[in-house]
Amino acid sequence: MFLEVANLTKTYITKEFFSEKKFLALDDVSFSLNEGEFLSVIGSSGSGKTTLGRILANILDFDKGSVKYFGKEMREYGTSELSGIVQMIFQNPYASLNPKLKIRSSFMEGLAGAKNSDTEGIIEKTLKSVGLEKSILDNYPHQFSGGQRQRIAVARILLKKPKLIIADEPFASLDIYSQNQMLDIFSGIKKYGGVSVMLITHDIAAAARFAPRMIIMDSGRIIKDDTTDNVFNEKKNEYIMELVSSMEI
Amino acid sequence: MKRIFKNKAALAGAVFIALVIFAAALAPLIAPQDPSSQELTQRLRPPSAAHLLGTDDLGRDVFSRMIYGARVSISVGFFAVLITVVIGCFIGMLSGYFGGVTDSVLMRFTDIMLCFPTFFLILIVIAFFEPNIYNVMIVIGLTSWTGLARIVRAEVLSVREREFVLASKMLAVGKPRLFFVHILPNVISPIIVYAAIGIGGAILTESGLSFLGLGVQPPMSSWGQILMQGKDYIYIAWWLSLFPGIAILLTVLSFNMIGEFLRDVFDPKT
Repeated sequence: MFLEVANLTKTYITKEFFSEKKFLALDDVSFSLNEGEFLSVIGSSGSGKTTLGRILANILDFDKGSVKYFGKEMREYGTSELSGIVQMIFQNPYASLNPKLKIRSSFMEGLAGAKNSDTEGIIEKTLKSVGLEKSILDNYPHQFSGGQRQRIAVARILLKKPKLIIADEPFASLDIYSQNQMLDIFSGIKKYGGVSVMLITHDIAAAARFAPRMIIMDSGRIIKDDTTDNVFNEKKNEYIMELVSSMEI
Repeated sequence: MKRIFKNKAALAGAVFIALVIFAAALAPLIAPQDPSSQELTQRLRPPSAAHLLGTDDLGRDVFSRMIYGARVSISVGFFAVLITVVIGCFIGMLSGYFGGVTDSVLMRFTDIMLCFPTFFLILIVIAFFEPNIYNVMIVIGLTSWTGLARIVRAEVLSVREREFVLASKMLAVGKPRLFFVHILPNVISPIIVYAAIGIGGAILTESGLSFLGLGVQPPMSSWGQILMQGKDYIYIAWWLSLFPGIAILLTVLSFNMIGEFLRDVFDPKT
């Protein structure tokens, strides 16, 4: 197993003057993922899917449980070691690139520490894989559309050659055309092999096109971890049936 | 850059500041007379062709003294604000980025500094040390960083959670680069606005101190000091108070206009 998550629990605590507000975002979450496997995580807002993604991406700490990459606890890895294992794409393409930096400088960060000296060649090849030209390197993020920025963000993390890409609602603010482009990029990654992608979304239609396996979350718990076909044939759980029917409208 | 030509007030401010800086830098060439040479036969003369802005009680040319005084006002303004910006940014960035105990300690310290009535604190410090232009700059700088520190902290708090900072963190970008390449350039706009307005404030404080005799000492001149000398003769020599007063007013106003303009430029919402 490439990724093993066991009994993961996370509580958000908001401190007020004399009291604490607790919110249980993840409640005893367990699942595992194979190398190269594609998975969608589905749930409504507040179901804990973004929290799960952020914990796996090492942006957020967790309270209880364990997250293992290649059989080794995530907390035992160093930051730069983990950066070669897991990377994340964010929902808002307008905020995922530093507005004051040219694309080239942002890209160089992805290559820092890489031993290969042919940086230009690597960048060109990576850009091609997301359907972008090399000429974009000397521009600033504000010169691109949301879809282009999202592809730039994908190219940037591909430079790190991660084993797992967590995509947190990457289509949410994109039009249908850009959404399809993104899905194509992910299919390209799948064909290439060796990279797992976890798509976090509330859009069950996109999820169905994306991966054969789905995890459905509700109130911080995994309520279903099954193949896409089985999810669509669900007859018992009302929440899942509602999700599925929302797609058919 | 084109936008400043559309904003008449800011353009006028920028032109005026440029003139003052130009006059201050080339004071020996521009000033018609030595600012300290006394002509006792020419005491308290009203503005005329020989003395554009009249003479003071020792027969010194007010115009020449004001040009030399601009050096003091402008340099106090810039250096005091430089100190303010360095301290304010440092404390604000540390506080906002690290949070937790660091944040609590630094912000409570800032609160304490905010509680002091600044001008009286400056008076006390100047009374203890020698009143001269350097002490004035340092004291103004050391007492006016609190507002900036809070602004920078708030900005850093929001920027450090932005996706591009998180993305760079995940790429294992080092802390110094995260700080100076990703966070600082994205919080710089309010700092520049604060600095532009702060220069006006520092010039005003210097004038106030000099007016009270705690700023620049004779024979050096500053606008506030000329104003102070003028108060004794205000009924018979109005020009001694009027012209330095106008100079201070216009300079502070110009810096505020530029500050307002920069705020508009950096804030895309307006």
